[in-house]
Amino acid sequence: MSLQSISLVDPTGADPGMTSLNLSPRPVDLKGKRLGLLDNSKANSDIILNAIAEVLNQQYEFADIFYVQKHSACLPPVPEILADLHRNCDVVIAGVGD
Amino acid sequence: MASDARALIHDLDYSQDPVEECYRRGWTDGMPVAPPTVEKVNQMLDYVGLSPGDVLGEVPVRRRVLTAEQAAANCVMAGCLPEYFPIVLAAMKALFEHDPNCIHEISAVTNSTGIMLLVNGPIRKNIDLNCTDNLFSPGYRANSTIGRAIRLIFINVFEQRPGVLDRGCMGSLTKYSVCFGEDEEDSPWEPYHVTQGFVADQSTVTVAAIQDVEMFGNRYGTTGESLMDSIVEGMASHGLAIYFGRGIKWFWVVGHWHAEMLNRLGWTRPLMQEYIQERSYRTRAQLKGLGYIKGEVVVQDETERVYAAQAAEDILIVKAGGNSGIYSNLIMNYYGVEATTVPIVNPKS
Repeated sequence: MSLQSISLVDPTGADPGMTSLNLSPRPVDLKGKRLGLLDNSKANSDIILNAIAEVLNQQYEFADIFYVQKHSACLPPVPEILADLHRNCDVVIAGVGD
Repeated sequence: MASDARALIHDLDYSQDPVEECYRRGWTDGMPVAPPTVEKVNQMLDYVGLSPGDVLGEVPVRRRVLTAEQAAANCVMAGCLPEYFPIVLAAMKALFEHDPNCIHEISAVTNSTGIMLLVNGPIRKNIDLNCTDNLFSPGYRANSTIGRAIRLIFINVFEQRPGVLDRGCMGSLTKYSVCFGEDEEDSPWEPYHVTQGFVADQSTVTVAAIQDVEMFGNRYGTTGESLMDSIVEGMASHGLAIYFGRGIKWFWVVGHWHAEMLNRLGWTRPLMQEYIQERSYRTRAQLKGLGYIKGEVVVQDETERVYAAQAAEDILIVKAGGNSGIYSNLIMNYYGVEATTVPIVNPKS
């Protein structure tokens, strides 16, 4: 029997338009900042986010706490939600519940 | 839409085991796959007359497209014959048309949903798709590999790997393969796809996101009411259906002897749908007590009904399964992909 090579077709996907993304500048201090809470709409997400905010607020005394909920746990926020976060927050915590 | 996108080709030398190479590259669902050789993938594409770069759809939220070549490679790996490929293509088309992001959503959810494929029409017999005995068991190539091809596409093309983008908590056996045909030849009712507006000799596939299949063994009931009351119990007690409260449908896969009795006693699909829908509920108080709904019980919760199906037509009745026992199966259709029926066509014909 002769030995033959074999060629496999790669079955995986790739992002055809992938570009590198840059992180926004990180705040050096949270003191007095406006905190955003992005609830991903899963069960108990509100509980964990509010608990985190309460703990952080004792230390950093936020100027405001802005709470908003996504329309779907599985999909990105709609543009209106992102615009609200941009307008009303300096930092955002995105939370998952269950 | 055509594109120039071509898959990478990996040349192995004779010392490399191709099955193990697929494992090494993370291309499997845990079980061995058939190596996606260039020859096998081309056979698959030739059968349907598609070019490798033809784009079948895109999942915007994942910024991923599915090409015909990728679909064919995953079908080969699943063990599909080329004759099965039109069913896989139709199923993917149904998903893309329903909502392309649903392909991400049904894996991102923590409550573990699989994809069910119900096939109707002549193609069932052409490919020896099991419609009767041991319907949901291993043993038939078409049943086992067509659903598996969908899962491998999810894993390999859309990165829906357990613990990565597949966030199922408990997981589900339905993520291996759920593909079956209706037992049209021995059904007292018109075929399911005819109820959806298709002619009987048009082959179709119905695609639905589902949770695990539950069997019902009503063997001593002698009335339709007794049998349907057992289905009602199953639906009403399903916490997740109640929790979502929207877009939930149900497949009642009526086994042979259950169908025989229901037909003998004069039960039609509309009568059964109505009977079951109006009885499948729990009070809001009961559901709060069981932890399916958030909050403390208030007075009006004691009488407020929460229905498992919002409308009678959300209960979808299919005849399938063997005649060795007296059973039915109930399948919850989660709203990620509400039951969608599409024709199966070979693009080449």
